[in-house]
Amino acid sequence: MKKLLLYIFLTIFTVATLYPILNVISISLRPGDRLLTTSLALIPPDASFQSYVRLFTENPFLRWLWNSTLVAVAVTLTGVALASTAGYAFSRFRFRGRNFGMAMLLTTQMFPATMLLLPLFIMLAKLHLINSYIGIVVVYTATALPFCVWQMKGYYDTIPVSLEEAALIDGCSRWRAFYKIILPLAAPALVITALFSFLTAWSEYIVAAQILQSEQMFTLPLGLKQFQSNMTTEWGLYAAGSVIISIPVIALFLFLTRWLVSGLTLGSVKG
Amino acid sequence: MAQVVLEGVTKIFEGDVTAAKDISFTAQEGEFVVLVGPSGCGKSTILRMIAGLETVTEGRISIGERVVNDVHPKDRDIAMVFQNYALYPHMSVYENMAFGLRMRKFAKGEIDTRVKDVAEILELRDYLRRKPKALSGGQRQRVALGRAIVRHPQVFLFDEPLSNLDAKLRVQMRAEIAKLHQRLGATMIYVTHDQVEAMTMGSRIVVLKDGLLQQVDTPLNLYNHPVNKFVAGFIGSPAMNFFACDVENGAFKFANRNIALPSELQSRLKNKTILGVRPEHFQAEKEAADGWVKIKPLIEVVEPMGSETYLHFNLDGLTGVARLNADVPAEAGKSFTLAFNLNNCHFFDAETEQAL
Ligand SMILES: Nc1ncnc2c1ncn2[C@@H]1O[C@H](COP(=O)(O)OP(=O)(O)O)[C@@H](O)[C@H]1O
Ligand SMILES: [Mg+2]
Repeated sequence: MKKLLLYIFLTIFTVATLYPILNVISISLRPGDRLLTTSLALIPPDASFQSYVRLFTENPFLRWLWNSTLVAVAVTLTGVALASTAGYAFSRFRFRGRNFGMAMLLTTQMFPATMLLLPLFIMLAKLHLINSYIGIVVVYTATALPFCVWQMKGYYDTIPVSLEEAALIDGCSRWRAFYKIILPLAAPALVITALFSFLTAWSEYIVAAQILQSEQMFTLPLGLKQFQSNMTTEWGLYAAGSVIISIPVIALFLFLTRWLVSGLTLGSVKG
Repeated sequence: MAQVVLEGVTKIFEGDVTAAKDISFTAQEGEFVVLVGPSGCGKSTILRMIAGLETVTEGRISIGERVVNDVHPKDRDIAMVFQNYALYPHMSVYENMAFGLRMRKFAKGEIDTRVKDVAEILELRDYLRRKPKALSGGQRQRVALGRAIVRHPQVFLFDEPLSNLDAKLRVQMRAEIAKLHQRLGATMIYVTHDQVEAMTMGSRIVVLKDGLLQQVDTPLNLYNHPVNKFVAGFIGSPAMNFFACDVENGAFKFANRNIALPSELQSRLKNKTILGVRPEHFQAEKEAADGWVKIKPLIEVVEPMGSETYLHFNLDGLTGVARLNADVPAEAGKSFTLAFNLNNCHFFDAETEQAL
């Protein structure tokens, strides 16, 4: 009986999760702009890739895809580089301002990004970083970093300090002990950091809308919004674009989860 | 090989925790020195200062002819075996042992020869490709040893390397390390809280308590001539019995009896003295010679160990342990006469606890 309830519960949620995804795929395959239809067929009888083709031929979709990739990769690389080192410092060193720094990182998370939009815009304007990728990369990285730093620090805390000490005695400098011993062991945390940074950048809209002003520089979410113009919305294009946007994310997930195994430090210590 | 010299070494941690205070001793070239003391007495801290993993607050540490206070651990030419082994979990046994040599830019062939030689000695040949997590506790321990040995360092440092092993393996590894020491002839400094390990392994032992050095001596000298009550009680198992006594008019009062003191003792003792008798220095009455002190306590517990028997006794409120032959005819709940020779006893000032 309990089991039955559980299954019903799980089924409802599975359907609720899958329905919008299937729906979007379905819309993207419909010719024209048939947002609403009475048909329940997942793949419409007159299915076509027309929307996908138009995306690439009649619109600068490829350009946006490239822009988004550029921004997301830059944010991921900066995020991983900064979070892995900052987290390490917070985990291993006792320096003045350490606790304050940790607390400040948390504090920044209390304010919604929308609240910071205006000051952010003014700041970037003064730095001449409006309509520039550097500006948006800085903002995205700053958004993702607090969580990533905390997360990295938490993971480093679980790696025994004696591993680095052994490496120091074995002939490593501090820096070498870090990247030869600690970094490989922190792979799962690095993966989380990478995914989180990438996602922060990949699907962000509001900040991008503020900073990026020329259509040539648009990232994918901005581009998609273009299809929703004043009078009409090109639902076919919109749906097709959404499907394409999600593909790299899924691919990245599948690729990175291989490293997302627990127990990497197993066997290093104790008997 | 090199000697290690500590001169007035003090370590004060943040928050004013003094972990080691004014420690001085020398480990001669090729010597096996054991640092022993109860948990928290500062053994690890001292070892870690020698390794360069902790800074020295005051004093001087030299390895060979060189003062190493400000030398990076990697440049001290030492190897350390950690209590928790600290093997690199993402590397195979082979890589774990080769890592230190790689960092020092040894040639590939040389690394291979050394690792395989050491693997042979430590019986790790069949496990070279395994990761640490696929090894038993004893094997991990040997990998940790191997990682130290391949480097041929000047000084080996061990921080309670056997404390995570079960009793049987511990005895076995103890012998292995002793053998290694003979074979390599390297200077070794070994930390343990286990006095049996200290006594059986050390050529000299440094006894510590609360960050203070108590005594540095050979195992036998520590046993025979402890400088204070702490060392006397720490070395030897079961521990030495202590009885507080008053000394008056050339006799000392012990369990409501006056026992005449030999003249040479009279001058040494204070009014308030603690008498120390090792359990093994008690004898059954028939073994006793003339002039021995005899007591007739109640035997509370009889512990037959096979080769010998421990008697837990109570003498008018004073409790103690005696270690006698296995065939001793004592029974729990009855009284039994024990004898001991005053010449085998230790006397301590009741106030300072220093040996008299
Ligand atoms: N990093 C540290 N910071 C502050 N106090 C420490 C630190 N390491 C050790 N101590 C203190 O120093 C004393 C000696 O510690 P330790 O050398 O580890 O003792 P042992 O190895 O003999 O058990 C203990 O009181 C311990 O709490
Ligand atoms: Mg210790």
